[in-house]
Amino acid sequence: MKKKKIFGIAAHYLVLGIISVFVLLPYYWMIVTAVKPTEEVMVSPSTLLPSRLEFSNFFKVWESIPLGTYMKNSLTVSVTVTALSVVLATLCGYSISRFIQRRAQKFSLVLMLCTQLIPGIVTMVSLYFIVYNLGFSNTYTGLVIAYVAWAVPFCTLMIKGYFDAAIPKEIEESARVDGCSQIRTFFDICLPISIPGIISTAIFAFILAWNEYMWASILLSGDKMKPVSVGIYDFIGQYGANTKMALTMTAGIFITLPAVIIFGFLQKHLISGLSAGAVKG
Amino acid sequence: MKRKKLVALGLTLAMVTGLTAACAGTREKEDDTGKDAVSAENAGDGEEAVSYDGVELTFWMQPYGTDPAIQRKALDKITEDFKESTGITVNYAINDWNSANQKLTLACTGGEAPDVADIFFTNSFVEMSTEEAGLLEINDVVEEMGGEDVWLSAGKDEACVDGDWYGVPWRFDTRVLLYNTEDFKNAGIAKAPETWDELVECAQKLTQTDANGKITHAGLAWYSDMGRYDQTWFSMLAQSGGTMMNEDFTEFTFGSEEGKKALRFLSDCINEYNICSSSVDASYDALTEFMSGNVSMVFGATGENKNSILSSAPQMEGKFASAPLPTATGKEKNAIAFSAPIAIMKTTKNPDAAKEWVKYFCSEEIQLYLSQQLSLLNSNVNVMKDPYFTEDEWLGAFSRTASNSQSGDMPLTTWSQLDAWPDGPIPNMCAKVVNGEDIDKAIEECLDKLEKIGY
Repeated sequence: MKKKKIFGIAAHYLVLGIISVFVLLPYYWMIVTAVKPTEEVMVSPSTLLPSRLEFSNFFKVWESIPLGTYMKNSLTVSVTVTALSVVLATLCGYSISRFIQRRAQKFSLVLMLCTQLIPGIVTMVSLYFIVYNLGFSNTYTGLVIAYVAWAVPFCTLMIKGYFDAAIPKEIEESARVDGCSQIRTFFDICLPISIPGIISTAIFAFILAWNEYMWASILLSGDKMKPVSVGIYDFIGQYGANTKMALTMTAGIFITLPAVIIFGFLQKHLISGLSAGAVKG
Repeated sequence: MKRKKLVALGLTLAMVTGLTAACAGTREKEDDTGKDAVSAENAGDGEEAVSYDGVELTFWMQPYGTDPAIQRKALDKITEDFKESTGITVNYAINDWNSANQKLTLACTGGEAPDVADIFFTNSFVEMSTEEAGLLEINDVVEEMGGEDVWLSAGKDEACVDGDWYGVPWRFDTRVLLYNTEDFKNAGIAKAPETWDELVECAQKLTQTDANGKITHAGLAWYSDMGRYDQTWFSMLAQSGGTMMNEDFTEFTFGSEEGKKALRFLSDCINEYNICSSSVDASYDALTEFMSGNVSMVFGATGENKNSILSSAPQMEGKFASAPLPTATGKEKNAIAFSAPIAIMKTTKNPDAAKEWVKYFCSEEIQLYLSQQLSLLNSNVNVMKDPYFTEDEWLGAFSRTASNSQSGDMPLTTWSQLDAWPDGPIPNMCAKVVNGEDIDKAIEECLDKLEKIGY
């Protein structure tokens, strides 16, 4: 019995180890390339370990591209998108969760699911011209509108799942019996207990806006406006070649930092938020 | 119920009003810019020198060179000097290659457009241009700059559509043979090959194989990445004396004996002579292999490769050189050439100021400066005659090839489809031949597909 248990644990860790290597290898590669001496970056076959460590790229990258400006731009857009998406999705998700018996809510739920089935590229041209004719091309307003339009449906479905599974209707009914209005019930009772769900939704919206490339590259022009997901393409030259691989990888480290930090601090909420919505109890 | 309907109606009206106001706002903004342009133009009607003070232009460009900071610095300098001499402010934007085609397509079809842009696929963009948007015909600018003889023929092919010029050629691209001088010395090879036979002989001397005949050190590699053979074959077509199309671009002529000879040579280098690592593997990069000492010659290297090598593999300094690509008998054209123009968009509110910028940007002095800063070749004949190109050991091969090359991209509106990689008919035909398919059959299938797409 004990042997079986040990074997089970060993198998568990083996699988975990393999998956971890698979997931972490790109990050390892990114970090190792950033600290490799120049002559070792483009060798074939590649080396897993550098012969010596070089940290000059961590300073050079700020001179090579305006990385600070790009990151600031990304942060502005991502925070705005996150705030708007969370507010809209929370209100919408709560409404659908609590009033699904109404035809309009049911219909809106189906519509939201449908939007997730349409590839972004299909709506790109029409959405581009809507944004352009509204005078929002090459503005963050246009980009935020596009991102929010994308993020809200999925965020709504996420948060609706959380409201369905994690907040029993009985709590709300008790509040109503005690004289609480529908709106006060939402703000004073439901919202405080929904924090994990809201955080997981916010992380999703933030990462979507932080990583997005296609829209940002079409809508925005010029270094002053570029977010970091577009700015990193500055290293890709005329023939699709990247001769500054080490600098690109160094920039990659800085770019992934915000998402890694946010996830690190909030992963507890993210996991509980996602799993609460996963099973309807 | 009635109240709900009234609220819905009210909301709808508010939305429509908001949208109309937003659109009207855009138009007002555009009209304002237009007024500035008109006043500048009116000033130009007088006898005094034209004053463009306060006029602003937007200029889109793609990234070039090996360091983004160098391009920004060069553009800052040029735009500042231009402002000092004309009063025109040029706000440049460097758009990445990945989105450049989409952005320019939208600009030509009524989306946001700059005043001036660094373009490519000129024929396609002219075709998709509308009356209000797209590329502006600028025959007057070309005439003022000295007429068509100022540029290499590939430049004209890319900028001129049906006799009208839609851009001024600037950057130029042709291909050469990159070789490892140390490997040559060790193998007792005194000079770079000039004919295909010499190329094969050289490569055989340089190639090393294991006991199973598998190449461990390749004598030759194609520059094209990820199994893209069409660009290599285009050069071979020129080297065998063949052409892609007839002179008036109405018929494909690569099915000729020369075309077949070029396809056979491409395939034989991989399958028959065993001198070339097949680059079907998507991760195979000829330049990386060259820098790592695994390949001795790269067929089809570009001008900026020198800086790429020195930047990524400083240990290679002094160990490589360039030469014009060998031809079938040593008498044919060496390679293909590409060019790209600077164009003015019809939507510009300041066409005269835009023309001034194009003339300044494409002037010989600025083009030479940009060539040096961005490791680019140039379409201007006089710029390519500068000692910077002719006396430099590396660039000399490009300079010689430039005057003995033929156009790589065909001036067809559907060319981007016909030569689309990886599924376009032409790249597909080359891949099939390399993979052992009968040459006649592959050509026949390709011609059928070209016919179906249209040209």
